[in-house]
Amino acid sequence: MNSTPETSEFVDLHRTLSLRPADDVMNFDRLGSLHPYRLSFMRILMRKIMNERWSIERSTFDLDENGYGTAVYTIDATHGRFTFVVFAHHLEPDKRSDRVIADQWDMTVTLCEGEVDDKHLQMLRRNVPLQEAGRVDSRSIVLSRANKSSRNFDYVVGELAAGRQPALENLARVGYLYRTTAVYGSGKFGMADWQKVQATHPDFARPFAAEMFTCYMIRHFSLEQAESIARARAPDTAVPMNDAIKRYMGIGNATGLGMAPYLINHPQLVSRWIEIRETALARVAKYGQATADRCKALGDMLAKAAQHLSEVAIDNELQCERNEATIAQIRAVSEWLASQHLSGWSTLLEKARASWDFETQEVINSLLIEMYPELVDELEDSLCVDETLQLIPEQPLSVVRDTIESHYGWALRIDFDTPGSRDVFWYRSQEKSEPRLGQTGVDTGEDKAMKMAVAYDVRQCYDRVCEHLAAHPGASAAEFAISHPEMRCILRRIQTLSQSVYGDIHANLTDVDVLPIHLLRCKLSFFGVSKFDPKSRLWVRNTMFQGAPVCSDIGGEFSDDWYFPTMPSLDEE
Amino acid sequence: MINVSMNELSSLLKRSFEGLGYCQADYEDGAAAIVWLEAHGMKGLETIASITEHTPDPANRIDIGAEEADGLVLDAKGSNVAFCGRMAVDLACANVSAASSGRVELRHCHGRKAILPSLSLCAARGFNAIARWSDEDCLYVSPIKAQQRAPDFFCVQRMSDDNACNTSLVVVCSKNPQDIEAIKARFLGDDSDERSRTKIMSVDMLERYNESLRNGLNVDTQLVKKFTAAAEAVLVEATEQSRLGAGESPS
Repeated sequence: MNSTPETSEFVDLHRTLSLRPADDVMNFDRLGSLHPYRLSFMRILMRKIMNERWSIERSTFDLDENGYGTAVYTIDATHGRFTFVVFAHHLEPDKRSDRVIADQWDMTVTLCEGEVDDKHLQMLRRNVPLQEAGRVDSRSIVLSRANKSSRNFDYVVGELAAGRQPALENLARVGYLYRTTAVYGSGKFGMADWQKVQATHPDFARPFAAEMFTCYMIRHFSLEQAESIARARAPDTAVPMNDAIKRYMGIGNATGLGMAPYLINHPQLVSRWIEIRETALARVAKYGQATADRCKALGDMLAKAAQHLSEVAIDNELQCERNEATIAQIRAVSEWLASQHLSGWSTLLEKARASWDFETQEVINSLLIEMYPELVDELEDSLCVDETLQLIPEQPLSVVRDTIESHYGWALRIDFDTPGSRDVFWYRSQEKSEPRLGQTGVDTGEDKAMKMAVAYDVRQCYDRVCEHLAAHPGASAAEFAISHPEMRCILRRIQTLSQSVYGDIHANLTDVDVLPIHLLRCKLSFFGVSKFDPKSRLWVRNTMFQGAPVCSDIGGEFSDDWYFPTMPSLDEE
Repeated sequence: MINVSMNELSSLLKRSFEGLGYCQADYEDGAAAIVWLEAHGMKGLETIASITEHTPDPANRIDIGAEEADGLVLDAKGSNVAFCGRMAVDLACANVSAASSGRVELRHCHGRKAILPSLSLCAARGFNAIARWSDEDCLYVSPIKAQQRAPDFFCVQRMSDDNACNTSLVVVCSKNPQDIEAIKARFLGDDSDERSRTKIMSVDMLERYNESLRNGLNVDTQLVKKFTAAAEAVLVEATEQSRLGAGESPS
């Protein structure tokens, strides 16, 4: 193997690597085919918890025989103490909804800094169950809620109460007891701002680390609650859940359009996440040697990925077809791999690009990165980025024009005169400000459309820039911004993002055929979720932390191999 | 009073300004400026307390006036500096050269304290800068050095021979810190301590920012209600049809 570069200076380092071009990587369909990988936020979080041996202790577990009541957990992380507070409620089945507009839930929770005393707990008890309608304060870092999986919860409790373990085949269909329906952070409802978390809590100073940890704790509580109800129901026969089954139980998640504007409103952050993934891949391609042992290891990993996909049980026909195609192509990859004597991974990457679909290509990419923690793990420290969009006022306007042509060719190639290209608009509903899609000329609210039409705005800006240059060839960006105030926002976006490697997502989000779930899947893959289960083109169910260590594993050995989780073999326990 | 986070206030103000009819750059800049002032203890909300009573006139947009001997003049047409300050500072930066500073005078503006956040952005880009303005009684001077995170802020009693103007503001940017020091010295004079009304140093503002970060911002409940009402204008009525636009109902 070539020597591994010693410097950890991310920005300087990747310039020596051959990264895939933006036109390839920021392709909307490819972003909608991404899989979680070892730098996904849940993977990073679990490495921290396990390697730093966080302590997670139950300090209050005041539940009745039906599992309703209050639970409090004390978390001693490396740099500080945190408290996770759960309120478990009775919920009528007809009130159980994945939609953000729901107003009651089976479980409401908050993650707080420090300890929670009685007075604080009383305040939380009054407000956390109300979620968006309540107020907390800057001691709270995350606010969330979850609903029981109606299919699974009663079944699992029933089996445990009867002294049996739940059947793995059932859990493969739905691998969780609860589904989260919203996870709020970043100062919402009076909580701590992200800047505070970043500055004062190093344990959670990475994007969405506290939010992911909250989901992990919801999973933990769901398992303890199920066991507690089973014990109360049948004290003589109830058994605890087998640890291997516990690890296979994740936490469900339902995500809708609410997540989509984030990717448009945080373009530098998304660009950085993509850049890190691509840097990891480029490092593997450059420094990782495709030895016979490594090829064999990759073959085993591909088999695991195929097994994982074959265990995904979903209703969505299109995603089922995609999964089946990916499984078949993974077999083809394995066969091709066995027939080759590779000199390096670039050969495989080129073959994948020429022969297989985006989904398969991205499985291969995730697995290649998985094999080289020594090359990629340090990149997890570079996930944050300054998000100020800055005008470069002194830049000649002719340079702005050239920049649009070179960095936004994808947007200029869209013909906005084509029927359908501007047939969709995004807006916020009066119901909890929920983002929704409307059809132009049909639905009301077009005049209140959210600013999601980046491609169209770029086109408009380019046309105005060209007109302005024709009249004022020596104009600067600042002069243009003053004479076209409505262009100032897109102008500074263009100027700022053209300095990043990947820039904006290449998509026309006003096209009649737009698939918002691509945006959701892109973000969710960076979170680290698996088992994407689209319920429509607008929302998706998925599973978080399936296969991850459980709290009782902390302090033990950690092999960090819970990617593409598969049904466990109970013989191993 | 109600305790809110910075992000919460920012989001509320953006929607309010958008609801009032400001363009995207204006509502983003305006919200960022007011939150910056509040977080740094400079009472930004009081500069826009009556903003919900006025609708911005798109025809009344900022104009470049005549270029004068010592710099550019912008006509803000009665705008609050929260919305047009960043543009003025951008233009001043654009006119900085190796040999000379960039000067912009912003006329017919109000809420001039809201220039401070733009100065800090300017410093982050490696420029030294200073803003000054005056009213009947006082002269206000706010200098910042390159890479400094917040400016200093001086309010001194106005000298009798100054020309007071209640609606203009001058910003100067320079690569050379001595240019800014010279302007500061000229306007504050040798007796600034005797004339001093308020003196807030950068370090004090940053301390206040850290306090805001730790504990959130306490803001007037009535004002929040007013902005919340203005923000309603960006929301679309919910109907059965519109619910389909959020995805089908789960079983």
